[in-house]
Formats: sequence, structure tokens, C-alpha cells
Amino acid sequence: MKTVIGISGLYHDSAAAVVRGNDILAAAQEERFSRTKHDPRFPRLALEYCVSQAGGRDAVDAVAFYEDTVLSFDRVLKNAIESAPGTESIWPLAAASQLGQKFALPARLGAAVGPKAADNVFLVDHHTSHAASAFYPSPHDDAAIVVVDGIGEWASTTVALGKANRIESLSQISYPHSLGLLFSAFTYHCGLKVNSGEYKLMGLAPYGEPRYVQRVLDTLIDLREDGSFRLNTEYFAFMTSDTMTNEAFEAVMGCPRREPESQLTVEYMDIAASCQAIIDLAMLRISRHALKLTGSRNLCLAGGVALNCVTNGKLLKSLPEMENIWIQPAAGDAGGALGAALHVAHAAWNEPRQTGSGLRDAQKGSLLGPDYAPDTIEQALQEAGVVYHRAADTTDHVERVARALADGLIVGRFDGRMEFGPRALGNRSIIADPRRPDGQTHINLRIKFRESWRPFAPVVLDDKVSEYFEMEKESPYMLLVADVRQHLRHSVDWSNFRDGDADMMKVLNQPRSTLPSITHVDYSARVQTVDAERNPAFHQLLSRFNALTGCPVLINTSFNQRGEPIVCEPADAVRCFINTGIDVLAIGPFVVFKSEQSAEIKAQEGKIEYELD
Amino acid sequence: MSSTDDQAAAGFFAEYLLPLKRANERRGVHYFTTGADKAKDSYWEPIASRNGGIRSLNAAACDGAALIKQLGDYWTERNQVQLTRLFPALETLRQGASKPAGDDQQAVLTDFIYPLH
Repeated sequence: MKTVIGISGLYHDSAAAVVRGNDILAAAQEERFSRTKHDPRFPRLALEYCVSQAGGRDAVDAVAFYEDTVLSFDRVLKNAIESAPGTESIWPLAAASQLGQKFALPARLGAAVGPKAADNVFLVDHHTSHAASAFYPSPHDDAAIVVVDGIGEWASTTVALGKANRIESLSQISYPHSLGLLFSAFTYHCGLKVNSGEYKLMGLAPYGEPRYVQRVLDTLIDLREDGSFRLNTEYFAFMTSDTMTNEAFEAVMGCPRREPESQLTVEYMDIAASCQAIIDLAMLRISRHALKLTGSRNLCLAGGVALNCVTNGKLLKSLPEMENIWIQPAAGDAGGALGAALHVAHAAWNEPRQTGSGLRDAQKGSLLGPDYAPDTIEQALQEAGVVYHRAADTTDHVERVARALADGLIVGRFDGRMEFGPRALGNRSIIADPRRPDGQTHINLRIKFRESWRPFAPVVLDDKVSEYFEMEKESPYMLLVADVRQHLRHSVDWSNFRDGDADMMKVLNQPRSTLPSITHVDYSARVQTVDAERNPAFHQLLSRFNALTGCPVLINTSFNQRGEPIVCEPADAVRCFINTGIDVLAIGPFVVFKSEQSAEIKAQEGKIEYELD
Repeated sequence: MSSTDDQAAAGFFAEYLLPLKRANERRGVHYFTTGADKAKDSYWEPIASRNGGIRSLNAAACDGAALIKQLGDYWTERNQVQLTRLFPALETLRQGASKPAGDDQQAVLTDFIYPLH
């Protein structure tokens, strides 16, 4: 079996992955090692990690990049010409990026992975990489594949058919027409950061009413019944500048771009809701078209837009012709590294896939990053000077942590391999009892140091999911939104919101369900199910918490503070624990209580600040 | 990117790209669409790929000069004659832009200039 390294990078979210045959050995994003959020640079550290997991450079047979750099430059150059003279100021940057870096990349890849693999450098089309990341690890023998993101070489949207170990791309929508760019434009208009604030826009939408939908359909986007679409580029600035929108866009929406970090008003909440509704509608039509075109009843998704779990949840509810949906957990550009490697394995070297009824997917719970030995963890604890305990065994450790959670404490959990993808799935997570009435505000302000209007996700035992949420299927990668069951909900008083101060905190501070910390203001929740096969240790902890409390649900949010990448190494976790209001650090076989720390350690809380995301 | 590189790129823009834009306008040539077309039933298009999604490069074909040549070949195959005329100057620009791909270079890029991606 051949061993292939995949690389994504030089735009945002650089990453590396390694596969052997159809087996995913490892995958990680550069930001976790470099500690620079969304790090776009060549993924030197992630690559080193993947090479080590492969057994060294001599074990690597090939390396694949997630983009055809030649075709990308074709688009960049043609955009510069087509949009001239407006592109005059950005062209020098484009030339440096494309000609200076991307055109030098294949040679650099060859040098980085060693002489054996240097003879087998592959360029895999961007959307083929995404499609491969969605289909090959899925458990389905055949599937309609939908890729939707900002932009690839030319494609912004692609429909493909996956069958056995082959992918056939069928049709596409091309630049500058892009749902990813449309969503980013709205993100920008609402004063949020492009390429990272899209998730916040999705979280903002439930506060608003989608009253701009028809206006957007009449002006900004022509969306057809078959899901195909075109943007009206008169309203966008991304073709010629480093901004997403222009005055014409602002005129359509009836308001200027919101100043970042300023007060959010109903106007922007309605815009967020409208944008979300447009994406929902477009993705529904595209998916329906893809299922019809391919004749499959399985749908696989990737591309940055596939991280929109609200949309994904609506697809699950609204497509009776679809039996199964599988979404690549690293659906953004980082996942392209994995897809590129898998595509070389299957398409170039004909590696077979393992699929069939009853089989899990091949993503291994997306626990594909580094893990650390107890000695390494203990060294980090000692270097930080914290007081810690070593549990007698796993049962003892689980008991201590579950009891801390049951007592209402907030736990930073660091265990096993790090997740691949933007979601923390338990191994680099902050977890807490979701029944705590002030849980959302408390974690947001004391630990995440971020806006408190964003909801937390629940993690639930897989066999209990339908008792708490309107969801019958598993959601192991936190990519599907479902409503909290009706009988658990409490009514929310919205009076004086739209016509008054639009104070989101007043809404948030009402207990919206028996699990207030994970219930959004529209009763939705971004559900993760946990099973004993993919993550037995986390399943054991949640089971014990359930036994102690009768509640099989926990808050699960990423182990970091605002602006910081999710923790990777033990030292990152210890630093985050000390710097934030986390009460307990459960790290490997160790448990650390904040209450037992010295005054000097406690005084360090809140000292480290990161650039706002 | 150094100011020298900036000047070279700006010169390339003024000397080659702007005139080509004007020539395209005269001929009615457009590389992409910019809005709705009510005459079309659907906007789905055939896949645009050089190679069916995957392309293998041997070590000798990996350097920037080889990739620029591939771009020229691609334009030739598509009969984009005006673009192929950019080729020598583009290769000169590439040589000027080439430098050791250090880890800090990416910092100059704004993170959401999509045409640069």
C-alpha cells in the first residue's frame, strides 16, 4: 500500500494529512502547532507531524497539493484583466502570492517530503480534493457529492458522483458566482471577520427575521430552481479590492457596514437571518439537484459552506429523497489536504475503499491529530508549577471528573488524539453541565472572553439523542443542528426586543429549556453524539455523568479562548487553564483543580489576551 | 514583496494587462460572466479542469518555469492567443517574484482577497 501526504495552504487554514492505502493515519492543521489562528503558511509543523506518523520520509511515496496552482493563476490573471483598472492595486500582491509562492510550491513539497515522494508530486483540483474528503471516508458505496465554498481554481460549487473508489465531477458554478463569497459578504457587512466570523453570523441569525430574503433574491443573486445561481457582481467589491462589499450593497441592505465590535442592532440580526435563509434555500436546491442528477440516495458534503450546521440540519429534515448525509468534519480548506491525499490513493493508485451497511465511516471520529504520553503531560504540569493529582486508574479519573461536572464545575478536557477540523469533539474540549442556568454567560465571559450571544453545543450519548433533540440519526462531528424537544422547552419573552433595546442578553438570560446553556434562542442546538466505538473514553465520562445526574448531555465547546487556536500540546492546555476561569483540568491521567492552586497561579487568570477573531 | 517586485508587477499590469483589457473590450471578449442571464435555463456549467481533477508532476516538472509553461500550453490548447502573448513577460515577472518561500511571507496578504487565492 502506498503512503501519501496531502497538503493544503497558502491561503488560510493550512494543514497536512497522511493516508496509507485507504487508512487515514493522521491529519492536523498548522494553526494548532504554530499557535496562529487560521495560519495560512506552508504547513511545516503539521507536515513534520504527518511524516512522523507515516514512519519517516522514506516511508512516503507521494505528496499531493489541494489545488491546481496553474489553473488558479489562470483565474487570478483573468480576473485582473477583466476587472482592470480596478485590480491595479491588488495585482502586485496577487503576483507575489501566485508566482512567488504557489508556483514554487510543488518543488518545495518535493523537497519537504524527501526524494522518494519528490518523484510523485500531484496537484489535485481544489473541489476534487474537497469532494474526495467528503466521499472516500464516508460509509457509502455511492453518493451525490456537493462541494460549496468561496472559490477553488474556477469552481465555487461542484456536483459530483462518488461510486466505489471513483469520483466523477459532473457540473459546476464558476467564479465570481459563489455562495461562500455571498455568505462572506454578509459576514463582512455585519462587522464580523471574513473567513472566521461566518460561524458567528450563523449564530446571530436566530435573533432576527429573514425579511430581506426577497430583496436579496431580486438584486444580489439569481437563484434558479435547480440550485444554479449567479451573483450580480455590481454589488460586490471582492473582485477588485480587499473588501467584500461596496456602496451598492449597502444601499440594497439599507445600512452601512457595521463597525466591528459595536452594538448589534435588529437590522443586522435581520440581515444575518436573511443571509442564512438564502443559503438554506440554495443548498436545498443544489442538494436536490445533485441527488436527482446522480440517482443516489446518499449525500456527501464538503467545502466551507458545509460547515453551516443550521443548513445541514435543514437538509436532513427537508430532503425525503435522501437517506443518508455525511459531511467531512474538516469541510473547509484544511480538509482539502486529506482529500488530496485520498484522491491520489484511490484515483491514481486504485486503492479500494471499505464500505457497506453497518460499517462506520473511515474518519476515525476525526481524532487524527497528535496525542501525548503521560510523562510529557506531567512535565508540562510541573513546568507550570501547578498542583495536580494522578488518578489511580481510568475509572478513578472518570469518577473524579464526572463528579466535578455534576458539582457544576467547568472542566477543560485534554485526552488522546487531537481532533481534525474546526470542532472540538471531546478530546480538546471545555465541558460543563448544561443545566446550569448561567452556564452560557459564565463560560463566554470568564473562559472564552467573547460575545455571549453565541450558543454552545451539546454532546449527548448517541442512544439518548432522540430523547432530547428532534434528531433520529447520529451526529458524531457536530455538523447538524436540531431542535430541543418540545417538552423540554420554556417559553421565551421577546417583548421589547425588536421595538426596544434589542438586548440579546435579556433573551439569553431566560432559561429557554431544561438545558439552557445549549439551547439557542430559537430552541435549536448544534448536536454532537458520542458513541463507545469512536471515542470510548469520552463516552465513558458522559455515561458516568448521566449515571450521577440523570442527564446524558454536556456542554462541549472548544478548549481555547477567543482568538486562540484550540489547544494542541499539554502546555497549551495548562496555559489556557491558568489564564481562564476553567475550574478543573482533566489532562491525560491527571486532574488539576483551580481551587487548589496557589494565589500566584490564580492571579494569572486573564493575563494573556489574543487578537480578536 | 519588495518595492522592486511591486514596480515590476505594476509595470506588467500597465504594459500588458491594461492593454489586453482594452483589446478584449473592443473584441467583446470576457473571461467570465458578471450577472444574471434571463435567457439561460440553468447556470450549471461543464467542469473546468486541466486534467480530470488530478495531475502528476515529476520532479523536473515541479519548478515555477515548468508551471508557467503549463499555463501557456493551457492557453494554447484553448486558443487564447492574446494570453499566450503574455507568456515571455509573465515568465520574467515570475523569475523576479521567485524567492525562498519563507514561513513569514504570507503575512503580507490580506486574508480575504479572493482574487489572490
